[in-house]
Amino acid sequence: MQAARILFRRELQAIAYAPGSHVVAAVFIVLQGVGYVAALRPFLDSPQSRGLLEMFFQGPLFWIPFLVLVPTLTMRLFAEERKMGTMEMLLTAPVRVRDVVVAKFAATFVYFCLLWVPGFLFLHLHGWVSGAPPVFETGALLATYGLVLAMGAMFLAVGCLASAMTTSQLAAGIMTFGALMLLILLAQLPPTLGQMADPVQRFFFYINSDAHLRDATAGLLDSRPFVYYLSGAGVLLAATGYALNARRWRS
Amino acid sequence: MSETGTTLPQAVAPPPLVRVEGLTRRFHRRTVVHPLDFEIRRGEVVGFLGPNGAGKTTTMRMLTGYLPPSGGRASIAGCDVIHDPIKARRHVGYMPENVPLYTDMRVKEYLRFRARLKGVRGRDVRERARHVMDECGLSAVRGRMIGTLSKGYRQRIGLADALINQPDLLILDEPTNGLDPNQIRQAREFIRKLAGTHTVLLSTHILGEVEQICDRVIILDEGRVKAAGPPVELIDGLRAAGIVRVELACGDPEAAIEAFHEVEGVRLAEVDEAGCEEGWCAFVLRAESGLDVRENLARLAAARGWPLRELHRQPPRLEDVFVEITHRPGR
Repeated sequence: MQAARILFRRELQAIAYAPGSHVVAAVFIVLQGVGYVAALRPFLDSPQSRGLLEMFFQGPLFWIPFLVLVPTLTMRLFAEERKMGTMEMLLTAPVRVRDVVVAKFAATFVYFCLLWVPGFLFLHLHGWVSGAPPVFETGALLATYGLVLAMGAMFLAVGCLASAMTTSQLAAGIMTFGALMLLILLAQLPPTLGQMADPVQRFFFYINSDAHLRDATAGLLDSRPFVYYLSGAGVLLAATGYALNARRWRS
Repeated sequence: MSETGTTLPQAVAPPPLVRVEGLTRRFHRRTVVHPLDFEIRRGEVVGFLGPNGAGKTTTMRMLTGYLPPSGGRASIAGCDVIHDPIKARRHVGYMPENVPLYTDMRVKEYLRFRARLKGVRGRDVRERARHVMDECGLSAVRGRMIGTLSKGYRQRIGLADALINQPDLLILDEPTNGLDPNQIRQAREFIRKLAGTHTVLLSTHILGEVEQICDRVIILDEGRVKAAGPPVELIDGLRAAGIVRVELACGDPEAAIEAFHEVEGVRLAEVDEAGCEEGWCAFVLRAESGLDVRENLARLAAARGWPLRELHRQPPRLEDVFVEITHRPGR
């Protein structure tokens, strides 16, 4: 784990020094701001049946930035390292593939978490400015952010796997974006498919990220999505290690 | 310890630092490295020679644990590179061909990172990094971004990286590849300096280099060891082989070449354009090992009535051994 810690530090530094990550952060935060304004807007005209939290975390203004953010953070991770040949430098030092995967994922996840901080502050802005009582429950807020981070962990793991499978960053990014779209949209299938057997329906509910998010913003904390996202992340990271090893066995 | 304490136990040879037994590697059913056996003793400098694609890099990568072998075993300082790769790697400093580096890091930063990664203890990290930067002539660029440095400097960073944790074995894959003649000379001097204190396995195409630096040479071709031994012995093994220079007057050089090829022991005959003048033609012939072709050539010239004004055998060099072993027509 010593090696993983050293690599983690190096990876955080690489993120901090890369101009690309700051561009991503800026764009993401602006989009969050736009999303926040869009969520507040309807309250100006009339009372709403849904809370601010629900408005902020629903709809395309949440999903699209989210789905673009993940591939841009992960596509570089392994693809670049392999293309530049620096993977050879890493894996001829006393370092395990596992250490590399864990370090890269952890550093990216930390950066990902940081990107949600401004949005978190936006939500409090309203209270700070107007002095009015908060428009959401603290519990719901924590459940929502917890869920978003867990979801992010799995989505980033998807990106890790894609990046480990190719030497082209672009291919890795597109693969990740496609896979995430599929993951999100697949869950929307049941209504269009009509009547289905109960286990199938339960499966689709289980992977329905949009529904999970809706529950969390309404203050409903369910442990099942957390199991889904975190175990999914674990499996995908194991697959990432496997993909990196397979490369060495074959090529 | 014996009671008398005067005689040491009779020359128990220390175990070799590197032991390779039946090491094999296949890519997509194509065997790139055939079962390979060799040993490297502590303190030796071994040169790995062979044409491109002979399996040198693959073998080196297997020794560093980067590529898993398809069969066989290899150990470094008693650590199996397959079953105990992390331990084995602690004994190796590896400099890959083309030296991939993180271009977004500063030289000192990169070397400190590598030192930590290779298990150098916290307070020694700076000291080791400073030491290898001094040793490899990097002190002047210690604060520069690696991406802005020239190939020569990058090569030195690779070398500094290989040395940073004071490994038992240095594996250098074409350390002089892509350098200019001055840099090559510097690199050679440096490797020679290392040779006194390190065990080195290096691959290169520059045979003069090997002749000067290496205690022993392993010539690989198509994944097999074709020859191994000290350079002097390999050259001696060729005896009369080597290059014969012939200068004679003949109407048609093509006909002469054809005639030369019929002489027993001539492997390769070429016109030496630079040596041709006013009716005289110069040829360079490569002879089979163990045969002195000069007598036969003189007889041939006499029989054809070609005036002969030079017949000279150059003493063989390592290059001749290399060509002798690895040359195949049409390659």
